[in-house]
Amino acid sequence: MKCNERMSGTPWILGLILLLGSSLTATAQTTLPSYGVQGVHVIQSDGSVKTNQTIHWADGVIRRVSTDETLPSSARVLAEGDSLLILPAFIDGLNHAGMPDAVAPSSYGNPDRPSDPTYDRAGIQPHRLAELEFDVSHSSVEAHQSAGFGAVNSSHQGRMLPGQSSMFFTQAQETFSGYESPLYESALGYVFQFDGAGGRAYPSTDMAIMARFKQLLYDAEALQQHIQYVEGSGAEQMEAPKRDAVLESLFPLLNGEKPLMASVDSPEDAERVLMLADEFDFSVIFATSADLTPIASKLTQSATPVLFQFDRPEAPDWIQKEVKETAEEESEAQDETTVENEEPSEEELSEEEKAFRTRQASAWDAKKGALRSMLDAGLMIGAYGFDGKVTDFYEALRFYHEQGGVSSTELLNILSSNTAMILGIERLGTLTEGSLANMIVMRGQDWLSEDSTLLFTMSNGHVITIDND
Amino acid sequence: MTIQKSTTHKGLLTAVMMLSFTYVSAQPSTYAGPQSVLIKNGLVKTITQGDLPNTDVYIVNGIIQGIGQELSAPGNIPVIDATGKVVMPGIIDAHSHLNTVSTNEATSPVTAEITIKESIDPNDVAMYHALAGGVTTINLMHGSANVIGARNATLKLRYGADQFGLQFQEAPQTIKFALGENPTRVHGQGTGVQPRTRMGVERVIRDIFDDAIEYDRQRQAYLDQKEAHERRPNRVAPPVPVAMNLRLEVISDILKGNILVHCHSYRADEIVMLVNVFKEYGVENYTFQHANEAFKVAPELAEAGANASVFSDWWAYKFEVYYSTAYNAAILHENGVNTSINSDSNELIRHLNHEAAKVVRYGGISADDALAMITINPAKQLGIDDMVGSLEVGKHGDISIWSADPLSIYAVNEMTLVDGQVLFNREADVADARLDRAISYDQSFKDLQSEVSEAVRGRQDDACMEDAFILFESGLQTEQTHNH
Amino acid sequence: MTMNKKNNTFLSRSGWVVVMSLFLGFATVEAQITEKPQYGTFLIENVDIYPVTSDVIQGGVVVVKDGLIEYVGSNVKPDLTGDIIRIDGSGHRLYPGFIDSETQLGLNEIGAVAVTIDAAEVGSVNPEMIAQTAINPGSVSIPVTRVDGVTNVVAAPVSGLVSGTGSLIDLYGYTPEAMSIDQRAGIYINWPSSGKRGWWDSRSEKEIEKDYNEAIDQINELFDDARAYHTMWQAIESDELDAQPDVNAKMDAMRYLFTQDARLVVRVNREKDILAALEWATQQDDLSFVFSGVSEGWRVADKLADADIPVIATALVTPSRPSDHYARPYQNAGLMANAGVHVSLSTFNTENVRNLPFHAGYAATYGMGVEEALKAVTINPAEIWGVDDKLGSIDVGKHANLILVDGDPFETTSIIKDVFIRGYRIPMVSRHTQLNEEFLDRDATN
Repeated sequence: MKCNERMSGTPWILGLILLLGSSLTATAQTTLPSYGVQGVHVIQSDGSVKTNQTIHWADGVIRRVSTDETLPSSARVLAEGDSLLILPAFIDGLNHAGMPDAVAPSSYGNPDRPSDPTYDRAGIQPHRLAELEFDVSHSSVEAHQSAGFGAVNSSHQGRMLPGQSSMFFTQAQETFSGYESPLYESALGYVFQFDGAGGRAYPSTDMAIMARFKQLLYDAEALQQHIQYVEGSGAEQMEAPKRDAVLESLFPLLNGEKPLMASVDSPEDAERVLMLADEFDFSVIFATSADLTPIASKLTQSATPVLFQFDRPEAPDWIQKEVKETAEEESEAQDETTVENEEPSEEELSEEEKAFRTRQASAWDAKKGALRSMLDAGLMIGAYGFDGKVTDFYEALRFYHEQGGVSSTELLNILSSNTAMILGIERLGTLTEGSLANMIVMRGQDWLSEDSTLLFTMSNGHVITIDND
Repeated sequence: MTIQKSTTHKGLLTAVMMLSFTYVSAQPSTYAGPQSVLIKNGLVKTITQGDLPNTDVYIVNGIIQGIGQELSAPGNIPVIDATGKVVMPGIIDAHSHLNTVSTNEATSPVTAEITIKESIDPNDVAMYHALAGGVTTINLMHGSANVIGARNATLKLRYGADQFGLQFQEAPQTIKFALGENPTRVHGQGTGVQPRTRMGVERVIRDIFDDAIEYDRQRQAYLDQKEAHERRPNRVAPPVPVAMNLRLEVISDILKGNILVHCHSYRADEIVMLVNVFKEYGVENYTFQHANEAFKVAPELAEAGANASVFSDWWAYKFEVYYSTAYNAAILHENGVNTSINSDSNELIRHLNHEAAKVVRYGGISADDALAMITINPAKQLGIDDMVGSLEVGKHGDISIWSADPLSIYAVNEMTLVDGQVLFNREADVADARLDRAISYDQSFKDLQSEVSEAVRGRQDDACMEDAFILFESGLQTEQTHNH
Repeated sequence: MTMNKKNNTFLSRSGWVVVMSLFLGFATVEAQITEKPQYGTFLIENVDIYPVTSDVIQGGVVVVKDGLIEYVGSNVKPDLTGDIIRIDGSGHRLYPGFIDSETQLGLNEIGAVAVTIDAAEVGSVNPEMIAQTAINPGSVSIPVTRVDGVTNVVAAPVSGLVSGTGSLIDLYGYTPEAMSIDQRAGIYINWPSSGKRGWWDSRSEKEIEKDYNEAIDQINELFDDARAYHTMWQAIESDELDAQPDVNAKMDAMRYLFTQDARLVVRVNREKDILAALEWATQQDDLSFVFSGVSEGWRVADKLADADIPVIATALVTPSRPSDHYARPYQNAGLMANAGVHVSLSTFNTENVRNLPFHAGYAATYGMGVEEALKAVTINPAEIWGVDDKLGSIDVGKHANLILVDGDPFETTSIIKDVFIRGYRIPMVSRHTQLNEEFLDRDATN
């Protein structure tokens, strides 16, 4: 497993792995209560549904998923019954949840030499690891719990290179031995965005951000080479390299060990990032709410996945009005008492505006179909950027389902196993024995339905009861 | 004008002065790669080889294969009847910011490491408006905030192509320099760093040139020793790495003649200053942009082999263009300086033929010489005159077809072809020429109305806004921080 | 063609030496004119006369005397006594000088140099700011403009809600008074915009609406006050009222609107705003309106025609909406004129007002037609400003503001050969021609 290699440099993560590993053995001392659900419907991320299932988990790991099996007597039965749905908990592929607020650009002030601001002032902070400041009790993490997210890949807020993101559980417990770390995996990749230094400081434009990034990588290349030379033989006389935490933090990117997580607004910006990736041979994960279908072949060729943001686009006013009127007419048609011969509601439109609307309607259709079209183009799609508004989030999901032609299975897939796969986290996103106990319990027939209720979110085996008031 | 799919062509089509079009809910035809087409029986203005009446131009796969009379083509090749029309090369604008995402990285006096190629917006309808004016190639430039700005992008207006498809791949790289008020105002006056004066401007150039020479030496020494070390690790010690420096690499390329300089400039003294600096550093084949006072030093420019790309008549919008004359282009031309007329404006680019005609008015140069100023002359300045800028066999099929002499105010561009493809056809024109992909679902007819630009007094206001933005706006990432 | 004076934009080599010898060197040449205009009785013969208000006279005769047009006819030589300056107009055309109805000529000198900008006063309501007082007769742009055929402009203030009073001037004269045709041609107001002012405008929809409503309230209040003030003073002047109110310069300036001496020029561009301004205008039936800008006038041309409000429009600008047809700005004037709107054309410019004939040329090409476009730069503006008894056509008794052209004056490549303003034959010299004269064939060794 690739992530094991990555983790070897981070001793305390190793500790976590050991802890998890030991919990898999039957004799292990359980520090957490063992839980179970029984007689429930289990929906896997691939869409398969099994009824009358029992799931047993302990120490944050799923021990059994089976049919009609009774739970160990030690297990606490969390819920039971065939009105319950169990799904893999959602994973937010990139977010700032649990992280401190960004510093407002206006508070930056202007550097003495605008052309050469410090790394921090320029927003170049790829050395920042999210776990240094992640706060699991932050309201934004709670919001994630309420929406059904069991894990979130969080990073600092900032500008061009705000830091490296890490995967966190959305719940951690205080125990006698201290505060349990919510961190699941550190330093998944480098967050990048087209966000200039702000104020009067370099870089201020997309094109300068690109150039600045390139220069950083050249500088990092040279430094890495220097360090290698000094550590190698024959360089006894060589001057010591000038150490630089920012540049050194970029070595794994240069060496192709970690991806760049690039937030982009348009296919053009994505193409710019791909050019850079091509030159320096690193991999990219895009985070966007734009339709990247126009560059789908480039993305599939380079196996570049996309994290999609589920915003809820608002139809243009006139389309909303038309939809409403159509609905009213239908209900009136059923209701025979309605007076006929109403005034025509359609206002007189110029030919120009009619043509304009036709084109706008096509653009709206394209917006609605963006996700479908990216899926059809064979792109690997995950999810990111839950903004804390639970109702809107589910509305957005239903919007892409009902109006965007994306099946609920595909949506679940995107929200769970795809995101896990994109981020290289294999033990999340599925409900199988040995997976991490990240799941959600809903009451209802169809998880996406407005009538369904989220009862519990499980994160790392912790049970979070969702307050639905 | 109609494009016929067979070789039988009809007679003269009357020019319809009042455009008739219907509101069609479709984008205009978009670029689909090089095409073949036969343009029959026009008055062909070759620019370099005179005017040829009743002449055909045959384009095969985007390249002109024949110019002559009674040319024939296979039956599947579309034919354009240009009887009674004037066929000329597509217009080339050596100074434009037509479709940049952002124009100025105004935070540093030298930004050679940046490229406008990473700031191309392939979705801007302004490209279509320029095509409608007969323009086929532009020099998409960085702004003039910095002494050495970004590298530019030579574009073909292949409307509908993506940011890479728009690029004139065979064109040499050019870079923007800027002298005078803009860089001294932005940096010296704006942020208190050099240059604040024209003395400082020269210093910035010389210093970065010297840095680049020194960098080049060190970098090469490093690369040489690195290679030697890798060949014989035990005999040759590893070198201390010298990082690739993108900015100095570009400057070094200028000094090596690999990048053509296009320098925003106005005053005669600063123009001569750069001529002298370039002479000293061996930089050749450069172009002064705007160069309102170039006429004062025309003999010096001619001797240095420098080019000039100027406005037809803009002046007095700032102090350094107060001592200007609309006769600038004619004086330069008469003194043997290769001169072009540019737009630097999304409005002027719509009628560069009219701007060229002003050189006939102000200076009485010949009509052919005036048309050369928007075709072959700018092509030379961009280093693409072996491919575009005149109608010759082997050159690109970039063409505009006019209802009458293009220098006449009553002439209307009927068709514009890029690589042999008709990308503007007045007869089949659509009212709303936006690309489908450029349409935002949430921008309503009403919204657009609220964003109507204040068309009148536009340039003057822009000129002021530009100042305000560069100096006072905290977020420098504003659109169109335009500088002229 | 025989002319007494140099008639070419190129001075002869020897002529230049003479001119130069009058000065110590070029650096000292700051005056706008290097020679004085000629004044007297002019007989322009064998010229094709384009009177605008009547049919073209081929090979006709025009006599200019005492600053006025004394005679217009075909081949009839009127009896003339005294010194007569004969000008052979063979192969040339004679037009009335062109008029630009909204410029900052004479007010602004160098766009980016704030201390040379006199078109924008501080304050929101400035009807009492009168352009004429700030017009610099020595502005370098004035000769540049008139040698290309524009003989008259309105110089108008630009800032605030009520920018000030624009003045109609001749582009010749040593004092503002000497240049003046009508110092109170119109009060220019900037109609509050209901939309963003441009890409830089970061106001929210709500803020825009609030600002708009406040501005409309301000306008209504201002005009209600002004109307009351005017009524009060009418009563005082007719001794119906005995009062000694305090002097109020703003209200005094506004009174010229109600006496019909000054037009109210409403600068408005967007369709929505034009409609709002039209609705407002219909409630002010005691005012004479002109709408200026009207970049979306073509969308509401019928309504403008119905309201009988003349407009000042331009041609060489970019389309106002991304979805607009590329040629809309060129067509705008023609579409309005064809709908029956009284259209005048303007450059809305300062240093390049000389391009006015080209705006007319584009408008002519794109639907307006040459005849109507010609009116739009001559008699139409004269009518707007109520000076069609003085300017705008070649008719006996009118001011001798004339231009002699070697061809179609809208054609870019045509050359203006002679310009008369108030009967003064203007030297065809400007900074642009002077610099050309000096540098065309500069001594390359020095």
